[in-house]
Amino acid sequence: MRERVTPSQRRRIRDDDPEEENDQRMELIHSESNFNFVKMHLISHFRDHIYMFGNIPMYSTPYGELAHKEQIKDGWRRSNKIDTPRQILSRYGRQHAIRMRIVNLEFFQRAGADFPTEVVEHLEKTRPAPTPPAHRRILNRRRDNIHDVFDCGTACDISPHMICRELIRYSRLSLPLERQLPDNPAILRALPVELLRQLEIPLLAFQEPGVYDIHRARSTGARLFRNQTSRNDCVWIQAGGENMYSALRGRLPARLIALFKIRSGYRQ
Amino acid sequence: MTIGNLPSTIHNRPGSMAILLLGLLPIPPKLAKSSRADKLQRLINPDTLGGVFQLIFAPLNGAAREGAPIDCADGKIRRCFPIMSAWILDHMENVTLHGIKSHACPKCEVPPEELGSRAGHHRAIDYARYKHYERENPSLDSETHHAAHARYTNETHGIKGGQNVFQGLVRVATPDLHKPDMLHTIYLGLFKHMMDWIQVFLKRHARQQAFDDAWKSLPPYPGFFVPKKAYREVTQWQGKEMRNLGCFLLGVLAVALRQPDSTQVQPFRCTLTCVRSLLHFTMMAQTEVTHPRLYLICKNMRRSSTRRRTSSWSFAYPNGRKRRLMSCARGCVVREPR
Repeated sequence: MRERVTPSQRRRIRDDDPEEENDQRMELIHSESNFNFVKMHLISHFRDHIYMFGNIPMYSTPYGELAHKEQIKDGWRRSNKIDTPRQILSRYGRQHAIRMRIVNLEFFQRAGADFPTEVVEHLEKTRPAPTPPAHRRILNRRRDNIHDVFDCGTACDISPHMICRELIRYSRLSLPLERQLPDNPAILRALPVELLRQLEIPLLAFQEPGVYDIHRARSTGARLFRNQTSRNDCVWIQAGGENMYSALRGRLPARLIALFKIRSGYRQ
Repeated sequence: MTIGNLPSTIHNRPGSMAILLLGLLPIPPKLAKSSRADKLQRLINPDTLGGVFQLIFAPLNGAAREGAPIDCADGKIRRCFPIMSAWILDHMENVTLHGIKSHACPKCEVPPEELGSRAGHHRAIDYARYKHYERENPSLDSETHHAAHARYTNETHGIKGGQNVFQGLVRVATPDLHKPDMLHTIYLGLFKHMMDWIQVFLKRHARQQAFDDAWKSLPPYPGFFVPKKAYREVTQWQGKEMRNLGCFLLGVLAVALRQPDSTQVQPFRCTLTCVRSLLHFTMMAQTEVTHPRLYLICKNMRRSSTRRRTSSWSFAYPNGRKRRLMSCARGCVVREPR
């Protein structure tokens, strides 16, 4: 290690010739700086750890920090501030016991066990209500003069036969029974169609529950977007289960050709 | 406290109640610095802490040695051996519980002046060995070989004798309890350090404005948090924000360091290499490596003859080729199969 520079020496260097000041300061920084701090060394243990136990995030502190808030801070707030540690401990123990009991009962209920009606009622009451999706995907910017599949096909340069065939296949494979489209292409062609240019997709904001970002996917077909070029965005399509296509998790990239709504009776 | 058999998706979810609260550690009173009362308090603190932990660990020791019948989820009762295997802490908490000095590593005997070098492996901390030295040489003042060695170990490696709260646990090697911590070591430690260096570097080469402009003009992307202010306008950074910063820093820096003049080419290239190495290291450390995959990578590596070395960390990519940032995030860090 090099010798440390005393404060008086540092002051002398600073008060010297101002032109040389910058160079000398840089030299000073170089002579005094090093990488000998603990965090620099700790990462040298990461490699062995990954080799033995896999990825690191699950061993990191954020989860512990979160537990600190739930278990201790909330407990302190609820206590009467007299002999707090005991109250914090007993409060969390109580909460834990009740929650475990509910989790167990729910498990047995799913497995088909019979419970008295008041237990079932209580379970229904305590079960956190499934939060309804606050936002739906919205299609907008309707294009005029499009009335049926045939118009739609001409507008986006696809043959109406192909659209009908794909629609029937999609409705058979993916739509629930009550929302299925008629299987007959002749009926399908008579149904009203709206061709749209924008799809608003709500996405949950980064780590903030209940806050949505709206992403706009546009498909202008051959038309220009803002007088520049045509715009047909790329999107991810969920094409299979989470375990397919390795890191893509069952999603495949695709380009939007057209966005349209088809109505059969009152259904879309 | 939690058990390691649970999948991480369950024991990291707060609602699943997987983490039990066992006790609250006492916080010593804060007294005026370097007063006599403060010195006395500092002497008492480790003993108090040791006493509390003895109380907590007492039931665990018997169970780890003899096993204990535990009710399992399938209704059977099994004889289980609960063994302490990890204690997740940041560095300063480690310092308190392991009874080491703040510049020492809780895992190995690295001297303070070698913390930044990557000079080989250091011997793991072994309390049994220090105890042994102490027992053989009751007075450390005598100038025997062992006594000198013991004093040397304690002073240079920053270990305070007999103050580790985990000492004496059955079937537990104390250094193994330490777990790497992304949040404090990388995001709040090295990233912060790197950003300080980058700011000084940019200022020296008059590229700060270009850096800030590129920083502020980032487009939005799902799962990515667009920064509203330039780095130097923000006074405090959270770990979450630092992690987010790692996603785009390299691109922004590369834009800011465009078109170097003849004297700048070399330093700019070095800077980009260093920043890239740290970011790659971070991404690879986060990669989920499952066993079959690890095996595959090891096999590939045995086949590959070339290995790349980047900056101060050495990586071997599975197929021995240089990879780009995104695909690198799916690579792996292992160097040599054992």
